[in-house]
Amino acid sequence: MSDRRQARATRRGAGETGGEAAAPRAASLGPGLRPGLGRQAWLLLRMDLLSELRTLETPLTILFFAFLQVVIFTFAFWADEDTARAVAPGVLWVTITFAGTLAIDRSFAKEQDGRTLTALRLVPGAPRALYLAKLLSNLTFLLMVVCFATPLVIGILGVSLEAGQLPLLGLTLLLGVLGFSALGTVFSAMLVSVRRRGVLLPIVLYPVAIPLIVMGVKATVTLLERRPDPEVWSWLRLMTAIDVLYVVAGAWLFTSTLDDE
Amino acid sequence: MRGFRWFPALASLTAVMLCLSLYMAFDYAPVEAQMGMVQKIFYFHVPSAVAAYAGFFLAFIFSIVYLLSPGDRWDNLAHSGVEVGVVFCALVLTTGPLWARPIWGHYFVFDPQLTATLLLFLIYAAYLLLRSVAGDSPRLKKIAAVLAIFGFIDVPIIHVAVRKWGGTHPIVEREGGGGLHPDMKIALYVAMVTFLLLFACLYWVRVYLASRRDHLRQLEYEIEEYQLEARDLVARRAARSS
Repeated sequence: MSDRRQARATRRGAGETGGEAAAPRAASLGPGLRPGLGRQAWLLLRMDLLSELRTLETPLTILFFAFLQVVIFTFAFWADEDTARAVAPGVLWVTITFAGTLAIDRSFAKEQDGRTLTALRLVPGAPRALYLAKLLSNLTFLLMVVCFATPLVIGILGVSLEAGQLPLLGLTLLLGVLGFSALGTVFSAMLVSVRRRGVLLPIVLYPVAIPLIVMGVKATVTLLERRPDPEVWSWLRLMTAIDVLYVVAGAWLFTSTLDDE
Repeated sequence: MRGFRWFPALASLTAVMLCLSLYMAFDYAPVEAQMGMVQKIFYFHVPSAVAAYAGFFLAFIFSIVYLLSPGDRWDNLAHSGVEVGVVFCALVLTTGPLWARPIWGHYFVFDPQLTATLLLFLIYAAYLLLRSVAGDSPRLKKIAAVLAIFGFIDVPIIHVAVRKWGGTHPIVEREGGGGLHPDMKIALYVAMVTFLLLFACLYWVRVYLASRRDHLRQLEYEIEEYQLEARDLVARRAARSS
C-alpha cells in the first residue's frame, strides 16, 4: 500500500516540476510589472478580438452557420403563419446555441493551434484574467449571433414585435448568452487538449445548459405573447441568479483545471 | 476502500431487506383504491429516485475533493457515484412511464418532477459518455469532476425551473406524503432503506472494482519497469563478455 502511494507521489511530482519551476520566476516579477486583473483581461480580450478582426474567421463562420440554420428551420417548421410565429422563440434560441457552440469551441482551439496557450498559462495570475477575457470574447461572438439572428428570425417567421418590447427582449437574450458563454468557456478550456473535442463539447455543455436555455425560450415566449411585464421579469430574475452562479462557479473551476496539463 | 470484509454482511442484510420490502409492498400495504395494483410500482419508483440522488450527491462531494486534492481514490469514488446513480435514475425513468401509461394515458407528460429527472439523467449520462469516450488522463478526470459539480449545481435550478414552466403543461397530482395511508408510508420507508442499502452494495462493489483496477495498472507499470531493467542488465552483460 505504502509503496503504491509512494510510486504515485513520485509520478505526480515528476509531472509537476514544470509548474514549480515557473512559480518562483513569477513571484520574482515586481509589482510594477504585473498589471491588475482588469487590465490583464482587457489586454487579452483586445488581442483576441484584434486577431479575429484580421481574419474574420470566427464571425463569418458562425454568422453563416446561423443563417443556414434559420433557413433550415424555416423550411422544416413552416406550415402557416401561426405555427411560424409559435416556433420563432425556439428557432431563435436553438440557432444562437448551436452557432454559439462553434464560437466557443474555437475560442481555445485557436490558442492551441497557434501554440499560444502554454504561453498564456505562464503569465502570472493569468487564469482568472484569461477566464474573464475568454468569457467576454465568447460573449461578444454570441451577441454578434444574437444581433444577426434576431432580426432574421423576426423577419422571416413574421413575428410582430413592438419597439417597446425590444429592451426586454435584448435583456433576455443577453442573460441567456451570458450564462451559456460562462459554461462554455470553462468546458472548452478544459476540453482543448482532449481528443474528439468537437464532439464532446456539445455533449458536455448542452445538458448542463438546458435549464438556462429553456428559461430563455420561456421568457421570450412570454414576452412575444404580450403577457404583463412582471411575468417576464420573474423569468429574468431566475436567469440572472443562474448567470451569477455559473460565472462564479466557472471562475473557480477554470483556475483549478487550467493550471496543469 | 481497503477491504471487502464486511461486504457479505451488508449484501445479506440487503437481500433480507429486499424480501421484506417485497412483502411490505405487495402484502402489508393496502391496494390503492383508484389505481389498483399498478400503484405498487410506487414502492420501487420513489426509492430508486432517492438512491439516484444519493449517487449524484456523492459524486458532487468527491468531485470537489478531487479538484482540491487530486487523487485517483477521490475520482473513483465520484465516478462510481455517477455510475450507480445513473443506474437508479434509469430505473426511475423506466418505472415512471410504466406507472404513467395506465394512470395518465401517456408514457411521458411534462410534469415538473419527470422533466427534472430526465434532465438530470442527461447530464450524468453525458458524464459517463465523456468518461468512456475520451480516455483516462488526469485532465479528463478534472473535466469530469467539473461536469459533476455543474450537474449538481443544476439540481436546484432544474427543480425551480421545471416547477415554473410546468404552468403550460398538465400538472399532475403527485403522491404527496400527506395523502398516504399510514401502512403505505411504512412500506415506503422500508423500501427506501432497502434501496439505499442496495445502493450502498453496488457502490461498494463499484469502488472496490475501480481500486483493484488501479492497483492492477500499477502492477503492470512496475512489471514493465522490471522488464526494462532486466533487458538493460542483459545487454550490459553481453557487452562486457564480448
